[in-house]
Amino acid sequence: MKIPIVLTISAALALSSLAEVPLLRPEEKAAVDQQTDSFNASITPVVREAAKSTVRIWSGNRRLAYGTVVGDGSRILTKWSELSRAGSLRVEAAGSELRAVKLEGVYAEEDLALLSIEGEPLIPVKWFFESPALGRFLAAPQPDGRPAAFGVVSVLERNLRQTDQAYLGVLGDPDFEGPGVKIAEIQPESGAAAAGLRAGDVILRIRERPVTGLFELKNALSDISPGQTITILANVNGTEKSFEVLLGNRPQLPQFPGARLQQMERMGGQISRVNDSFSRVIQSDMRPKPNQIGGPVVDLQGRVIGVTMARAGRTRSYVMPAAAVEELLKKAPEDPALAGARLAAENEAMMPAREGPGGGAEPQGAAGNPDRLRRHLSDMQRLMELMEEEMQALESAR
Amino acid sequence: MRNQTKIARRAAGKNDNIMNNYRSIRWTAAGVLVAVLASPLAARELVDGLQDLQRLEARVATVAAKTLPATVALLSDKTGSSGSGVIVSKDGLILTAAHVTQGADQMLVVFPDGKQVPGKVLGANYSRDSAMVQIDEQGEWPHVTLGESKSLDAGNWVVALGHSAGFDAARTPPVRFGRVISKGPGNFLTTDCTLIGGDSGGPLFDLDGRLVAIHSSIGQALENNNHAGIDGFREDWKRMLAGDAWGRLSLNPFANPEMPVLGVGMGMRNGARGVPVESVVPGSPAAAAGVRVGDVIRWLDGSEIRRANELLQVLAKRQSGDVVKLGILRDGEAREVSVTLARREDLFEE
Repeated sequence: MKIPIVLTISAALALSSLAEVPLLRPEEKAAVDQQTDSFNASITPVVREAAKSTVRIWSGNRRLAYGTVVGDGSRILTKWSELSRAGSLRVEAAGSELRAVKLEGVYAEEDLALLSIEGEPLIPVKWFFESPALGRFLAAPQPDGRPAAFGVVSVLERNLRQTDQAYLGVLGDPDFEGPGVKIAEIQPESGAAAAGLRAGDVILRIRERPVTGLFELKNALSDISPGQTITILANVNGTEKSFEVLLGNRPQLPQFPGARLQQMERMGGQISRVNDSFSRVIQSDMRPKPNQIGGPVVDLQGRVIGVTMARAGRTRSYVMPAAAVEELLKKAPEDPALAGARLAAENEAMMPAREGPGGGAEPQGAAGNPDRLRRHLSDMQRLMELMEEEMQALESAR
Repeated sequence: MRNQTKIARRAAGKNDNIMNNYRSIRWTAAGVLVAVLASPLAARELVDGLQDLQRLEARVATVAAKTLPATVALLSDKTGSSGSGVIVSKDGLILTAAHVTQGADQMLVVFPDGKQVPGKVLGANYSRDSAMVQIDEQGEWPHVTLGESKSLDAGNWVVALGHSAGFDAARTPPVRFGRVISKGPGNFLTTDCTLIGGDSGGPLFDLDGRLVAIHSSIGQALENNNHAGIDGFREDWKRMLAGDAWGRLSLNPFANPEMPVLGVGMGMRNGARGVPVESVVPGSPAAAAGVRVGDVIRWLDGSEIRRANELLQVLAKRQSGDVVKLGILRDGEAREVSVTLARREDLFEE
């Protein structure tokens, strides 16, 4: 089936795999295609201005990522993990030749890199700092002015970083019927322990809000920052008692989705290698390809509300809001040499234990630690993907 | 998806052996039938410029805000199931997918803000992947109104919500926007609102915020997200409410129990157009309409039928109980018969 090029540009309404819908009739395809054309034609003017500040990053003949022109036009913000292993980088802006760029610095925590370009400056974006409401339309341009992706605000701005979440330090008893949360275990040195809460106590209220169970307890805590002191009402041996609890930071715990879910996340296209733990994101159902990440995102008025951070799965992409980008850019980025060295060290550490049987100082049974095994498994998966990608690049270069 | 493709291929392979029998059928009368081209489906909701986009955006945002509080997560400790559902009445009746409630009597109902209440599993129609759960607590619950699904067509805009990848206390159920891509089989429909595990049982809305379908399954393609139409729920309402569970889950659209059928065995013509009738199921709609072995099916309600796959596709867009006009060739002569479609599971015992 020959696919008109215009359809492949809007990832959100891409029809390239429509043939895979088994019951699709020609008249249905025609109706949907026509609609896609009308949609793309209507949204193209919306992304036109921002497209002037959108660049494509190349390494050799490989398209690595998009970038957003920031500051005075001599700086480009882009996706670090997509170019961390590449050689010399060049950028393509609309209507200009490929130009050499230098890696200035890295914001490793957000997986962003800052590039600098010499000579004639490019056109920087004008940020719009209001975070869009739920269901509002978002679009990302290609450097040539056409839309790269379209979607809606799926989830309002939030922090994906576990360690930035408030941590109480209680384990709930799953068999307790409620109402409230019966404490099964208290984490030592946690806020709950310091405040005097004990196993067996039943948490009834968090800051005046009644909690029906564990989910509501988690939700109530999600609005509170670490470092704050809150009042908790609990039932202690039949009497209600108030506790003042200083909340800490949630420890980093490994979290791995099930294999089935991971498989589903990958159904329908490649996803970004680094796609989690960002500090401020808007979730959208936009479908940029991994090599289209790093460019600006606009609302229907064409105002730049942020930059794409990752294609994170079948249903979601993440956008860093303009205010968060602006704040980040005020900080000095990390030296790229340091960031590169650290990444290399991490890659090294990613390889499964090489000690061999009995060779290491590791305690007996450590290899059987499920968390560690899961970590290795996901690391292996990442390595496999890297290799696969390099093979593809080699093949396409041939 | 791969599974679906494979099944289609196997059917074609089987037909290879049958082909020879039909080579001899003469094709002289083909010209007698006037080709009534299927009228192209009107893409009902084209977008003409920025103002249209803005109107569309405003409606999507309104639907999202209005329906989010009624979009719940459903969890079962017993089965480990984690899906979604949507409340459709003030007293807490929840519609969901049958594969979400399967095996559970009780489910924990979790609201987007984490509030949790107990739910009792009512009935289910597995063939339509539809089920009901009742909130087991007094209250006035946020709820949505019902729309229609049979009237939807390719190009109708829709909004999907659901607790993707399970309930997440730090996030509300993600909103997704798309349109109907394809209809069928029977009560099911396909959209490009991307779904993933955990979304199952979640709601699909029209632009007025009316519930039109419940999320059921996905295929490999981003455009292959399948939903159970609300009209099927409406038909099964009393039975499900009474706690009855019946039917059979099937994700292969052509083998789906919901698939409307004629009741004929399909052959293949070598190089010629049409689907030869290889057998007629006794007591089937085709038998009642007088279709015979050796007839060649060439048209269905004006759509030309060239291959068996095409006949299946066209049938999938109809509902059981629909009356279709079948154009057939018999002994080289064209004729038309009316056939009332049956549900696959009612015709074929398995």
